Amino acid sequence: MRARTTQSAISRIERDKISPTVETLRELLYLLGEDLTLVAEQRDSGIDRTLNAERLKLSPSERLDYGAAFANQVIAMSPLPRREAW
Amino acid sequence: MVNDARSLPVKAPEVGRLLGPLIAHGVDFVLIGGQAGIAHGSSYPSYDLDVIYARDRDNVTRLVTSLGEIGVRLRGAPKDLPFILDAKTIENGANFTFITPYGDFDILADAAGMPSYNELRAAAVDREIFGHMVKVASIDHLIAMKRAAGRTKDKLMVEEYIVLADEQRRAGDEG
Repeated sequence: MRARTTQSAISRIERDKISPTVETLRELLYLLGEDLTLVAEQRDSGIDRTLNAERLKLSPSERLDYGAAFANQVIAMSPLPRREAW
Repeated sequence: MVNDARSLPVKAPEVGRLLGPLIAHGVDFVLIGGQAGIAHGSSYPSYDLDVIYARDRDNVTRLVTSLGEIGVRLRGAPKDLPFILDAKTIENGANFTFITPYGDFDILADAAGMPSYNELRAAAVDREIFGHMVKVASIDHLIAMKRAAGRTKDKLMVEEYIVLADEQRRAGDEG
């Protein structure tokens, strides 16, 4: 086979039964006159790295103190119902 | 008062007060969940304290003693539901969610996405937290557990934890 795979394998790819390996995909695209290019890019997760950098300057206890203060502030401002208290 | 998933406790947990008795009695546990994430540098708030505990009888006995000192009640259970805090009860169950005078406290035998307890413990980092040396689950195991939990808030936290793991590696800090 020109694509270095079997007709049945190509048939299964065409019928969405299997996903081709990167190498098979590269071969198939080559035979179609195209080159496969894979690009990995950093995902834009919307995380503000400067916030984390500030946290990392603190000790674990200071981070937990800060976290508790923040959580208590959220609780005080939240319209969500409260769970039972001790 | 309500106890559904979209409710909040009346206050954030007092981590030092909850972990202190466990440390004092030599309980074998690993801090996980949002508080572990915060200890690693996460800026997401967390409203309870989660620990995974070793299931051997001696450890469960020490855990029960600690819980007795803290003062715990089953969260969300009717107040007249009988609950006997002893090793047999803990062994017959696995994961318990408590309300305490110091905030919501969950003790878990296992959590989705975690490896064996021994693996979790071996990869955990020792961190000084309010004067106690505490084993905090590794950021990679926290990512695995948050991914397995799969709620929207967990997915958001995973994104931040991945950034934190990256920052830690850059800083040459494993924890």
